[in-house]
Amino acid sequence: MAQPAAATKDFEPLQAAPDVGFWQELSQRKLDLWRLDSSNVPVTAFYEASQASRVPAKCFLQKDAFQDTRVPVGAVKVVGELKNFNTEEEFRAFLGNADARQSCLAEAVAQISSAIASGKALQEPWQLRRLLLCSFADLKKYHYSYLLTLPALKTPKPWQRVREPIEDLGPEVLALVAKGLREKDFDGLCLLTRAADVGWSLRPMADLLNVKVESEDDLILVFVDPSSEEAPAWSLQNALVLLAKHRPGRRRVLAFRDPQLAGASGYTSSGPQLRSLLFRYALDAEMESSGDCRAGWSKIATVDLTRFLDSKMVAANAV
Amino acid sequence: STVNAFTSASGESKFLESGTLTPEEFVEAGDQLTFKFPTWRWEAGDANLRASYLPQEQQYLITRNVPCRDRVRALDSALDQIKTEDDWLLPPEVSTSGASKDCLQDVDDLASPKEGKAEVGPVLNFNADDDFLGDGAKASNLPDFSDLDKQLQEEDGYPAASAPAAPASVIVAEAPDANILKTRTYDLSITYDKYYRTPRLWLFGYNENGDPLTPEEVYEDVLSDYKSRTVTVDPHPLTGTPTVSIHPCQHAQVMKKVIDDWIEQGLTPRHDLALFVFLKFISSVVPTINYDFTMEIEF
Repeated sequence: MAQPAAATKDFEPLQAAPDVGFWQELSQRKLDLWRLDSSNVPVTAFYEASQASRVPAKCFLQKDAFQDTRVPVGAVKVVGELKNFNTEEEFRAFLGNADARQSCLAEAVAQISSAIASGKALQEPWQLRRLLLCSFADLKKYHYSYLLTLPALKTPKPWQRVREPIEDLGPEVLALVAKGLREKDFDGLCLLTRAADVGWSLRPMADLLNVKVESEDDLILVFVDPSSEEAPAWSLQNALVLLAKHRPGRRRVLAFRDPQLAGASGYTSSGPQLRSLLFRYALDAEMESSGDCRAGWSKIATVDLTRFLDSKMVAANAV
Repeated sequence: STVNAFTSASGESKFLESGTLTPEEFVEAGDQLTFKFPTWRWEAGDANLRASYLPQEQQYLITRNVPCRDRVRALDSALDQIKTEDDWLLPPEVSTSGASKDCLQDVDDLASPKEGKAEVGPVLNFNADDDFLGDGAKASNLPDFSDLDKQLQEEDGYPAASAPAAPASVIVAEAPDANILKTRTYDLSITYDKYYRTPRLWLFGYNENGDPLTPEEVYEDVLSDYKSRTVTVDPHPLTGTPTVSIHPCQHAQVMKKVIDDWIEQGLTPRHDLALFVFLKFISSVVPTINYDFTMEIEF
């Protein structure tokens, strides 16, 4: 197989980051509420703009994931479902069966496609981000195995990105974006537009169809990006499909990673190190999805939480 | 403002005389922190654990996914040789026999009955004779999904991608996490300690794979001078999860020293800057955890 010059990922995977409280709550519900009922359960997760380099793009799930649909201020909401299996055999059987996996995601994929086609996703960007967390809990041993997927719509060709210098926007504009994202909830996705008299400003996705700009370079998609690697996070893909559908063109995308710029000055005179990245994507009208998806399943992780959840251990280890 | 420094909503500020904070002063300091460093945010915590003396939505502060790339042992020898002028960064010498034991005994309701056991050198005594599984034993008891993983990645995992100009037929199949330098990460939180009336730092760490760190592993990121005296494991007041924290018994003293320095310099001490001072102090305790705090404290 020929080796291309520099193979890099097209999108950075999200890492499932359920905390101890999440598993504690799951265990409780399994015992008291669900018992053997293995229907999917709604959960709410969130991610944040990357605030350091070279850390995983975490998708957080906490104790309140099961009942609260709010996420912390400034965080990006990811709505989804938990599929918890009763036995390890069922967990393995499901994951090992391509048809079962595909059909399980079919509904989420259909909802995403429909939200894009109808334009609903412009009003509600969270419709683009749907999570499925699959898990198996051995409650006696406090072993929890899990993996996640955020289905991305498949496009006829792969997305090609071209990186452009972030200095084309510069720190003042980035600070404006950071502050704007902090002041108003844009649901993780918005537009950065430039007008002759007012300069750059942030607008909700809902303005996509009617905002007028002098040049298409004055319309940039702002994506709150949890990735700290070269590639933007996996969840950008459905946003690109949305844009290609409703306002195609060779467009710039800002993978936003500088939330700290919303704070007051805290930087040395050499200026802030900008970590946000600017890309140009060919958002062609033809990049319409067939309705198939790229699941992008994460690796299966297993944690042993005896030390945290076994009350005898907890008492013994408290010093 | 000058007025704020001397009076607070509760009317009983002891900030100047002892370096402590009222709940209201803590909230004001937290507001300053989140304003200047938006990567820190307020959270409400578990509904059953909230304190009535703090606003519902402002129970504690947290910043997540902070990288920690090195262990302290790499710095230890270098630090031994540095005599710092800013010695307010280090808490006053505490004798290891009397005072430190008191420090650890005060707050813990869950104090283990085995606490009177012999110390094991300078490292915090961690009960070695219970069923706690060491890393090796733990790994062998967990289910093995590697075959399934492989299948999933091949069939519909995260593909690595093609290089921008490559023709569609040339896709380099690369392991999804090749070329990523993995690192430990921490979720850091600051709570208000009602007993000591100071902030308290909690450290929940994750290894390179995202699994929770053991307390011993967390101690690898704590400067050795502090380990034996000020690091404990307790239920986090707002999550209930057993979590490592820097014990608050010295914090007021450290703050008082800074207040005295400010007064000496002709500045009016401000309680709303307390968390910047706190984080600067904490960074000397856990020097390899790189959270967002670098700034000159401006009046």
